[in-house]
Amino acid sequence: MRNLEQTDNNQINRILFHYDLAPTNLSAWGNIIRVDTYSGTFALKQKALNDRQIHSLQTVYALARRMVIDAAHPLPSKYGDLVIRGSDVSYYLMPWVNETVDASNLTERYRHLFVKAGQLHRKTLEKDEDCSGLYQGMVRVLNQRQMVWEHFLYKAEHHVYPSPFEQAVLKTAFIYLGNMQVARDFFTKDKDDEGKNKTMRRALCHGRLSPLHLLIENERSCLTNFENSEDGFFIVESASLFEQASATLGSEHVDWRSFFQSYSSACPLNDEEKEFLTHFLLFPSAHAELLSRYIHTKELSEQWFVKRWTNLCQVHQEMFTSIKKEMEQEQKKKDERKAKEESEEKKTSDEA
Amino acid sequence: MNPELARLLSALQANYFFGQMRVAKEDPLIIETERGLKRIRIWENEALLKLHLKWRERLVNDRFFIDRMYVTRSGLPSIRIGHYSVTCHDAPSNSANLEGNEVLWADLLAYLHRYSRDVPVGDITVSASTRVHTMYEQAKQMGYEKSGTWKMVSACFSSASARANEADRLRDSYQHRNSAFLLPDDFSRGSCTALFDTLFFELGQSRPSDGCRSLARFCLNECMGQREQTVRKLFQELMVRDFFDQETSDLMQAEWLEPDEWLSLVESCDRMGQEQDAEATLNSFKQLWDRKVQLINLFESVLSQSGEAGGGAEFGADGQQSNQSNTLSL
Repeated sequence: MRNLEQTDNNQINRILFHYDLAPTNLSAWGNIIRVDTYSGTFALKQKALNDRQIHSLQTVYALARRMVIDAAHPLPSKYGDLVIRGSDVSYYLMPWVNETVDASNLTERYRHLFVKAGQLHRKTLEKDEDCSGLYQGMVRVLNQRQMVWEHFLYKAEHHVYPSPFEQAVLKTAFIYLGNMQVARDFFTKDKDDEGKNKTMRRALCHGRLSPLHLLIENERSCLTNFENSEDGFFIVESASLFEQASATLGSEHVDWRSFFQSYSSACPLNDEEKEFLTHFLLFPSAHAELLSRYIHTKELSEQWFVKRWTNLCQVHQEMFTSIKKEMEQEQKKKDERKAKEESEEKKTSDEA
Repeated sequence: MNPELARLLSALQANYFFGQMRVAKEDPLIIETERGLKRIRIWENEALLKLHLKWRERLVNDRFFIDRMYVTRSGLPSIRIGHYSVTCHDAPSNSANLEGNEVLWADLLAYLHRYSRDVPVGDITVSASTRVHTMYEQAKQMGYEKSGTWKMVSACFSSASARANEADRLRDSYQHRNSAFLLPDDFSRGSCTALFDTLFFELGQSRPSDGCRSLARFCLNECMGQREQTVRKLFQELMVRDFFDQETSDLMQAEWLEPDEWLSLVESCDRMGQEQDAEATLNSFKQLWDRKVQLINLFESVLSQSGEAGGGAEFGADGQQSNQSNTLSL
């Protein structure tokens, strides 16, 4: 936090004039300016925004105002603008939230994030749409990642003495290459058993879900930074969130089953979406990025890469296994319930 | 408080986010709220209100403020009460005269010149030259020659005629333009107030008028107030901002060249009753005539300093090249 200079103040005062606010104190918190006034405390955010992003903020504002979603959204100015546009940078004002969870407590922030992501998707659900384009897109992403792997492996295999990192990767490569093949088989089938194009549910996607785009005050939390939000196949965002969490949280003890439960109890997934999720997680981006980074960067030590690789593999495996187990248990319970219902129906009909 | 005003205040209280409210001034209506002074405008012409809403929307920027409409609790820019609409605006009170604020005014005008544009309004249909000749002939027929000011009318006729011809010539190329710089019809030094080191510009609620004409009149008024140096500085600042393209330069000069002070002098011939009146009318005519000449010279000198002289305003008695010698007060 730092106090602002007088020159900054004048610029900020001009923006605050759009809200009829006279600050008693201004302080910078990263790219947010905390504005203390007699009418309350506010957060003024400055960011370069394009027309599409402003439109996204307006959409989210309309949804939050109708209580459809729970979001920390911009407040309208006295002229009715959500965003004050400048020549280079735009501004918007939000109520200040006294966060009770530190930015470094990622596990706790992800705990809230999975719930909020599930709620966002569930409450903005739209009808199913043809997802063949999405499946084709997934194949393209997979191809790109596979190319990174192949490039790395080609180089490593031609070294007489592979480096410790290369050895570590080579040891696990067959698992990931096998997984990628399984994922490819899944995503190349964009038609169902009847030969029709597959369809999936769409919803409002945040666009940049991150533990830092979430404001937590005690047990209340809400998503913020909606400028990149748009309608889409939400399962991609959910799957990416799991992938991101596994790469971010490292080897800390994380209850992945609880994360999955949090998400799926807020937004229950159908069978197709579950399949999508498990196959999406078979070709993680963080692994491919690390391989690429190893090839192109010489700044980090060999030891760092080995440690990072081991960590990524371990956490990814834990996450994948936990989610898969949870899905299997859910399925088992569902089957048991179904069987029980059927037997009860049979019993009733026999008695009748 | 009259019932109409009470009704208006109650509508304002119900529709805007103001806690406290009291009338600070009735004409124009200014109310005092916990969020400062607010100007209330009454619109009986709905089309004009819509035009002003669109106009303000086009001019939203981060360099200066505009007197935009406050939104109501339901998010609308106005409230409807009976046969009229009401809008609420900020009412800053710190004056921002041109003197000392030339850079800010130049910024404002340069921005307006670029974005406050639409189809031309109020283009002159009868040429200045025709008006000068018609008026002169009519005056002679009506026996104004006996008037005390006729001597001056007659002496300046050829110069007025030359100026009118030149004004017509300068305007001629822009008769069929499809976009023009617009300013509010009541544009004046009071149109701007100072706020957080920038200007708060009031578009007000008058009709848009030709920006070159309004600005020319504005500069003339400044010159009449003995502020030539301020106007010179404004011209220089506007030059830096590429304000004076050929069209703007020609149309502003045409406005100064048009001998409307001479036409007023002719009109005044029939109501000259007393010697004192004639003296005052002649003085004000001479003053205006001289100021216009000085202003054109000033404008040309600024333009020529940058090597981009405009349309070449040649005027003066008997077709002489314009210079200080055209002034009457010498």
